Amino acid sequence: MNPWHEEEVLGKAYDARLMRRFLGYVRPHAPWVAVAFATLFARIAFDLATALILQKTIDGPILRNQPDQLPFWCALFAAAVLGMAVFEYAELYVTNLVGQRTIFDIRMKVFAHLQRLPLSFYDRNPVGRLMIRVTNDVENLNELFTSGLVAFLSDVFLILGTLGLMFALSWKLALVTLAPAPLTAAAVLLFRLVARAQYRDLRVKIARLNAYLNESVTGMRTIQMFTREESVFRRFRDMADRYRQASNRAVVTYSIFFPTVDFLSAASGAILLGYGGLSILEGQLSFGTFLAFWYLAQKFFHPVRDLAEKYNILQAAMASSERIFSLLDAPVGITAPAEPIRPPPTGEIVFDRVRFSYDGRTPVLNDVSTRVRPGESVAIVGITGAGKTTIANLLLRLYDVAGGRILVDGVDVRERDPLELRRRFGLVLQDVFLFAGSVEDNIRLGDGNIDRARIEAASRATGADRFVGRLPRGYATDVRERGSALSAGERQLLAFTRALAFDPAILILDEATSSVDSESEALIQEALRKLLAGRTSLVIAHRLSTIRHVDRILVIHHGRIAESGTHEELLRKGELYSKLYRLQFEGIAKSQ
Amino acid sequence: MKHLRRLKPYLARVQRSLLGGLAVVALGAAAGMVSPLLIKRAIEELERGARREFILYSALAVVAFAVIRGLFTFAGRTILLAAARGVEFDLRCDLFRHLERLPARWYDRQRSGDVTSRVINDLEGVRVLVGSGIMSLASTGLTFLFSMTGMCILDLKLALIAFVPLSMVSLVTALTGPLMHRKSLAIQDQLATLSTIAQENFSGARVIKAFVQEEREIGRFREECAEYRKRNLSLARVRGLAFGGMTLFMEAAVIVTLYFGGTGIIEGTFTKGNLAAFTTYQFMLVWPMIGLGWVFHLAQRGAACMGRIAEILDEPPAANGEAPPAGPPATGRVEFRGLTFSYGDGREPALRNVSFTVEPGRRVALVGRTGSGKSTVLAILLKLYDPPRGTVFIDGVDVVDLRAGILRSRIGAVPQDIFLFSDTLRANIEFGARGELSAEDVERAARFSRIATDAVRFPDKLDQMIGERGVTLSGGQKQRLALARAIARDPALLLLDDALSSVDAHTEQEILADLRGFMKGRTSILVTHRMAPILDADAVVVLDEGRVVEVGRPDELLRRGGWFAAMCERQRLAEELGEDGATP
Repeated sequence: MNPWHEEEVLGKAYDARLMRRFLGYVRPHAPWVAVAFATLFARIAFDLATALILQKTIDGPILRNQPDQLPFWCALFAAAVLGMAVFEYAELYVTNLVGQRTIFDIRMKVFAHLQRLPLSFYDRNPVGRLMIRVTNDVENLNELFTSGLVAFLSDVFLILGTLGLMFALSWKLALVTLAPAPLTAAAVLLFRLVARAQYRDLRVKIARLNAYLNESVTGMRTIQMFTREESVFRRFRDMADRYRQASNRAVVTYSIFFPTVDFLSAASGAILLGYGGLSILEGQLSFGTFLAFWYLAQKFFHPVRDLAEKYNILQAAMASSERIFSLLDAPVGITAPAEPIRPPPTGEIVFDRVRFSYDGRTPVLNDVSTRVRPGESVAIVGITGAGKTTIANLLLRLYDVAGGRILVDGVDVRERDPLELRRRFGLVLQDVFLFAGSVEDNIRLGDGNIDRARIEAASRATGADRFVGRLPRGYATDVRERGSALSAGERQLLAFTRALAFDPAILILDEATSSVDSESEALIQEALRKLLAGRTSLVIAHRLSTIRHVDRILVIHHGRIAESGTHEELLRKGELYSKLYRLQFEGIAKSQ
Repeated sequence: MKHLRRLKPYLARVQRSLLGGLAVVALGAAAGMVSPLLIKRAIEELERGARREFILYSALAVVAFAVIRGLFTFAGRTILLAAARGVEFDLRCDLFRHLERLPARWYDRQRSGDVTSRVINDLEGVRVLVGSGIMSLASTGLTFLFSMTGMCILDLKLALIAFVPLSMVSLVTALTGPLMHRKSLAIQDQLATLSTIAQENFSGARVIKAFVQEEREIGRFREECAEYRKRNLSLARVRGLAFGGMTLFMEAAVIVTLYFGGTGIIEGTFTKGNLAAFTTYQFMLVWPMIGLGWVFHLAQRGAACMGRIAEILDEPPAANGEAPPAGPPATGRVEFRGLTFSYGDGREPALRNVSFTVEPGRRVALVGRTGSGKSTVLAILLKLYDPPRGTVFIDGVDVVDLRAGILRSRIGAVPQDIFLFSDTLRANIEFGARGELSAEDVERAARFSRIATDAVRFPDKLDQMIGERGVTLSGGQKQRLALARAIARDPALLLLDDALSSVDAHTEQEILADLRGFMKGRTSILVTHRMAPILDADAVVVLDEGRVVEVGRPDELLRRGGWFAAMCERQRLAEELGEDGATP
């Protein structure tokens, strides 16, 4: 998968439906949102107050020659500035608080939803793509709130406040001074239009360039093998050049935009100087008001200019929110029925004309029927791809059957709560998966009923206690810690211990293919015997060495049960099983 | 920061643009310095009851200087940023070029996907530094210089007093900048932790469901998310302090001006014009003061990125032979003389004392278990790894002495893990060609490999796009396309590494039979598990644990009843069970 491709497509900058849904996640934090807006308004109020104080200071003590008054007004100014700074801090913090809490909720929601999605969903969606949802896309939503929504409103309110104050001070002067403002707005809009197209073009070009880089690096061996370095380099350089040209076009746009806005702001200053100057001459304007205008005009154009930059953020955030919401809308699929049945564990398994396919086209299991009696141990054998592991998947209801039914403890698995059903099984999987945490955590797996004594007893039974005793902190050793790396055999024993501690009615053993040293092998065989004793067991056998313990062997071939019987019976029959057996024991099977 | 020195040659190449751009930006900044002085004059004239015309002319002059400043800023920005893009472009190309020259051993050491994301991120870091860094340094530095000069001209004492709070702005950025950087890194780390947990979780979905560990996983993820939130809020606090502090000190400069300037006005030592001009200069100074701290931060990050890029650039490229460019005539003769080869120091040899010869025009089957060294033999023939001198000869020349380009131009290979490019079928076939390929050549290669029969069913025929790594193709189609690519090379030596394993046995046999005619007088070495092509080969080399255990004609070896005969028996059983690897 190439993560640099699909995520670069940009859509609308604003979508009311998505925004409403996003705001739904903000709502639980409404009190803090209110605080954020309160601090925002306070900051703007103090900001505007400084201009007013400036005017009063000049028109008052300075121009009326009252030096004793000056410190008071300057202190007032300082107080307003302090208020501004404090509320700026508060605004930033509270806004981030709301943003972080919101995206925490969304991230957890996405993650929790992913836990509920069926395995078939994971088959269709590459891990890399899902990771981008949980990381980058959620980050973009944070931007949507902090840099997008709040900063946008903050700019708008600051503009409105400044306008209001200017009009209150002198509406005539405000009108002429702000005459260039519509032009600035027009420039911003125009810039937005041009920059948007260019930005998209730029993103597409860099995405292509990076995708090609990724492809070339991944396929470097092939490039070198076919001595294609020159032509591949030329193509890369062409793409890099197209990207450079696109970015130069964007540079020109930005280079025009910022000086233009600066010029319009200067023009506004010039008008203020001309018109204001004449008004002062005519005695219609005080110098203090003139300077306050000067001060306000400097501040006015900044948020106007900023607004344009918010656009790209919004655009990226909208695309991300769309992807996140469509993930949250993915149907959960395998759920518990309204009134799940919880039968007493008997350990009986029945496959009744079971059909299944992963993709809906290629059949994997075709009309499989068999009954496993309580306490019976059954091995499933067959060539790679025959459907052995699928049987375990269906039994655990990781997938639903396409036809027929599966009964566990006499009840159709679809009439049971899947989580409760899965807890009934003891599992030993092919590649023993160690969860983050200690050895003890990995045996207990969050089941509070399993105490330390039971863990130790189980470890002694499987022989795992020997290697656990050698670990730096015994059962408390972190399995992921450097230096405590467990060997394949030790992992296997740990998995057996886990299964034994759970004492399940049914055991599913997806037999390991990895080879272990002979000492471990002996331990494993011994542990296996204990584990299988008196328990309904399903052994998915990749190697045929361990299945002599079982009561019955099923040979799966092309999605059907082709043969069934004991080891001796099947050998005597001299068909599929005996061929498989000879294939393994007259040497080592073909690769894979 | 020392890594930034590596940028010097790149900057030297755009030296003229940089200097020119800087000069233009300087002119713009200088023009910007004039208007506060104009305003001062106008206001002072106002007090003396100036003529209306003077005020209007002053306003017009302000506009004129604004236009001049705008034009220069535009020109300067364009020139400087274009130069920066040039630096980025050159660096990107050089880096790619170097990646192409790095040996297979280097790639073996990298984690997949790692190289790409590193290159992308680091180039971005350097780009931002060179682009925004140079631009900010130029415009903020110059604006700072000119504004301070202007203020000093107006009133030296007040300029120095006002500079105190303004310098505090820089201090705030300088103090909080590194702190923010550290906190950002901590956030990135935590995000990486989240990614890792998510990746483990998603990859282990089956196990997690089977063991009903969903709640525990959610709990673990929640903890890390909470930590992530905590770190973000910690950064928000520092940012709040930084921004609040900047506001505080920036406005403090206005207060200082107001107080001292105001006192001056009352005492008659300062003019109202000065006050207006002073505040204007102070506003102009705001960004430079903030920018100074920021540029420092960019430089730090950019230096780290450049350091990692330099690490790649300093990797020695693959060794190349010195044989004359033309080399000896291509016959396809291959000879191994006692080759022992290991992939790395201290690792078990993958090949031990391998000796055998393939005469031109022969077809040799290389057989053995997984890990017996078959693919290593082919990789060495391609000079992807260099063998010890005097052990491997192609067309009579030691491969160590042969230029990789010349050697590889004689070989058409289909490796086990086929890499196809997200392009058309045709482009993928042409990829193998040594020079220009006519449409007939492409079609011939497509015919030989039987990809042509599939192509006619595609809407765009041979011009069909095949998606990333050929996702739209079946396994067998990919293999046949890769074969067409190798045939298009018109090679003296054809190497097929399990190249048709996903094609059904019957079709494989047909393809190989057709290729007999095409490869007449040329050599092929093929690795396969299927009986028919092995029995059909001129000779068989059996490898086991890196050693040649049997060599000979297939019928001879079968009669001998050794390793090869046993392997054939097992393979016969496997094929009877239908386990021939071909997907229907």
